[in-house]
Amino acid sequence: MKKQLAALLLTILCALSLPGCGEAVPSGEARTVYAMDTVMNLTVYGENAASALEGAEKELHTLDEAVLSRTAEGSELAALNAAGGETVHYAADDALPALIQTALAISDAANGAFDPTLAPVLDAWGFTKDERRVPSADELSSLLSRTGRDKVTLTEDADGWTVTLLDGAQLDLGGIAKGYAADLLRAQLAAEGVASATLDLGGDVFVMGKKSDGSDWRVAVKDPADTDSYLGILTASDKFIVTSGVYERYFEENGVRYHHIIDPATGCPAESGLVSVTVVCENGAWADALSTACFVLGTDGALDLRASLAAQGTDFELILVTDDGRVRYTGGLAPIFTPNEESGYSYEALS
Amino acid sequence: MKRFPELKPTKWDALVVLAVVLLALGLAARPFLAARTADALTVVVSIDGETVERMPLERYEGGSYESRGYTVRVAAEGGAVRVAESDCPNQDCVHTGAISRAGQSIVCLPARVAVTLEGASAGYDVIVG
Repeated sequence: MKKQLAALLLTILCALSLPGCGEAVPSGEARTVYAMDTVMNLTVYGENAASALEGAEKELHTLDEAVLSRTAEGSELAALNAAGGETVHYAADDALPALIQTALAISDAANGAFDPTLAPVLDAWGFTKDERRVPSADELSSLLSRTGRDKVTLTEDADGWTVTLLDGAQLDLGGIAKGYAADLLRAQLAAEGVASATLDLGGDVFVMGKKSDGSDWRVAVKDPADTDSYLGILTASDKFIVTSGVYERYFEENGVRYHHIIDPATGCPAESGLVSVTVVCENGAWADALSTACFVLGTDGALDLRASLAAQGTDFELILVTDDGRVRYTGGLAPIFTPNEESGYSYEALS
Repeated sequence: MKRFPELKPTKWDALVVLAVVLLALGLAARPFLAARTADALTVVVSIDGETVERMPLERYEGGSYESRGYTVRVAAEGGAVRVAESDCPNQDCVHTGAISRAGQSIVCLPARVAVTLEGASAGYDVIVG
C-alpha cells in the first residue's frame, strides 16, 4: 500500500508542476485619476509600473493645478487670463507658452476651426461650469468680438516668451490640454524605463509600446449612437487616438439638444453633419485639437485639412461618423481598422 | 511458469488509477473553466478612484452611492448596468446609457463615481470615445 500512496503522491506532484499554459497575461498596475475636469485611467506594465504611476499622477495634478486650470488659484493660465491685457513674460522652458504656440499653430492650420480663445463663449454656455444654458444671440455676438486667434500675441526669443491677450480675450486650453498631458506622460514614462502602457485621459488615448505578448494594442472605438457598442477595432502601437463626439456631454432645453463642441465661427454647437471624429496620430496635443477642428469642419473640411497638413509633413488619420449612419475612414487606417459589421453602419475606406 | 501474486491489481491500485483519471479530467477541463470565469463580468464601483464595491454582474442588484454631495443611483437589469438617476448638474452619467461589455465604464464626474465592467475576454484592451 505504501507503493500505491507514493504513486498517488507523485501523480499529484506531477500535475501541480505542469506549466499554467491557460493563465492570463500580467494585468499591469492601474490607477484612476480625476484631473483636468475628466477621469483618467492609466495602466502601466513592467517592473517600474508602481513608481511610474505615482509620478504620472503627480504630473497630471501639477499640470492641471499649476499650469492649465482656468480656476485653480496660482495656475499660470488663470494668471494670464487675469492679467488684464498686460504682457506676461515666461522662461524659455515654461510649458504654458509652448502649448499656446502649438494651439495657435493648429488654429492657423485649421483656419480657426480650433480656437483656444473661446473661453468666454464656453462659459456662456456653461459647459465649463456645469451650469448649462442657451445664451442669447446678442450675448454670443458680443462675446465673439473677444475671440479669435488674432487676439493673442506670442513671441519667443533667447530670453523666453511673452504672451499678450488683446481686447479682453481669455484662453481655454481644454481642447488640447489632455492630449498635451498625454505627450508629457509618454516622455516621462519612457524616461522611467516603461515600455508598455495604456493611458486613457478622458477620451484621449495613448497606447505605448506593445502588449506583454508582443502584439499591438486593440482599441475599440465607441459607437456614438450606442455607447454599449463600438464602430470597430484599431490595432495600434505608440499612437494617440482621440475621439470628439457629442453623445454624452450635452443638455436639452425646450426640446432642443445642445452639445459641447462649439463652432468658433458661430459660437453655437457645431452642426457639420458629423456626430463623431476619431483622430489617430503620433502627437497627443495635435490629435486632441485636430479631433475638435475636424468635427467643426465636417467631412470635406476635415479631409482638406488632412491633405494640407500632410503636404507640410504632419500626417494623421481619421474615422468620421456622419449623422446619416456612415463611417468613413482614411486610407492609412485600412490595414489596422476592423469595422464592427454588426454595428449597423455602412463603412467606406477613403483613399 | 511462476506466478507473481503481488502483481495482481488490488483496490489500492484501482484507487491510484481513479485518482490519475480524475486529475487528467480536471486538468483538461481547467482552460474551459477559466474561460467561463473570464467571460463573467464583474461590476466595479469606485468613488474618487477607490473601489467601494466589486461584485459579479449576475449577482449585482444596483445601488446608491453618495459622494461629494451627490447621490448616484445605479441600476442593473438584463445583463447591463446604467446610472438610472443622479442629482448631479450635468447628467452626463445618465446620458451615457447602459453598458454590458468588459472595459466599459460610466463616470459621474461631479460625484467622482465610476462604474466599470471588468472581464478578460472583451476582444479589446481599451475603449476610446
